[in-house]
Amino acid sequence: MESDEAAWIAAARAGDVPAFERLVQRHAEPIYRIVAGHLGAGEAEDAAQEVFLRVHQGLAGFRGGCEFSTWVFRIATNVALTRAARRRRHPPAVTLAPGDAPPAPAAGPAETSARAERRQAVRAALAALPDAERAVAVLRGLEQLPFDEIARILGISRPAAESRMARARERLRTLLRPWIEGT
Amino acid sequence: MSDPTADKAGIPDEVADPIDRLLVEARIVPPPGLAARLARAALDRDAGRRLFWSDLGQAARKALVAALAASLFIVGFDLGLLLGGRQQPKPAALAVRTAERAERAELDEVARLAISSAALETQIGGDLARSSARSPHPSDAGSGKEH
Repeated sequence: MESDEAAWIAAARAGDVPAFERLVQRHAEPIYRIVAGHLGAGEAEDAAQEVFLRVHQGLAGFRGGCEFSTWVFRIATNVALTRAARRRRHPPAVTLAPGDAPPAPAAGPAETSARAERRQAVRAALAALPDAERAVAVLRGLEQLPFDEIARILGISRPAAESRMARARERLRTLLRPWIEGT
Repeated sequence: MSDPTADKAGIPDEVADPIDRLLVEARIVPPPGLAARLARAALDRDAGRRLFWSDLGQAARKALVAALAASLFIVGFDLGLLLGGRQQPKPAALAVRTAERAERAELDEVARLAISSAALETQIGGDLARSSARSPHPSDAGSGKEH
């Protein structure tokens, strides 16, 4: 763990608000991308708020046995999976047609409609994966984390993480064939 | 150790698998001001209380479902025993009835023997009486002496 982060954690545990804000600042974007990878942009900020609420409440129990990022990413994955499961049990009353979906925030130049459609297709394909495979695909595919780190976050072995990613790739390849062949 | 490029929103230059490229391209870019809003929300005591009660509700719902499932299982099991019990006698009742039958058989046998004993005595007594009537010296009747 980085030495400044260890100091921030100790201070935040003691009630230092700026120290906690620095921790949030460091991890806000990857946490947002992880929960968005599972839930989409619509619920991502709400889910990210829940993640940091749990981080704040659980700081006293964090013993430093793993990297702080490992712990936070694990909370984020659990929050995302719980919300995704709840959404499957209670689907929203109004579902948007693909054409009605709000456009994704632009990463730079204005996106072409084809690129936007491709991104929508990939996000839909991710949502269609089983939870265990999607968890690895989000951490590896979206966050580019190494398999050792992914294994620690998910509490599985490295071979299991690699195996789940391989299966996820196969499913995604099948679901996104038109987009792959067209590139 | 985390990949140093993990926090960057840009697309890495070398991505061999087209799936990897598609996934990276599909990353949702966080909106501006996100960190400040998240920190504010995390420090909100009301939000913390709402989360606590929400977690409590979830735990209570899970416990209720588990209790209902256990109750249904017990009821189903009892029904199964009840319906199965009507078709054939329960082993315990069967054992009791067998024991009762054996006991009655024993008593019958005892009674029979008792009656037979009484009857035997009566018969022996009758035989002795008849024998006495025929022989003047009742003591010679069973002595075995030859005259």
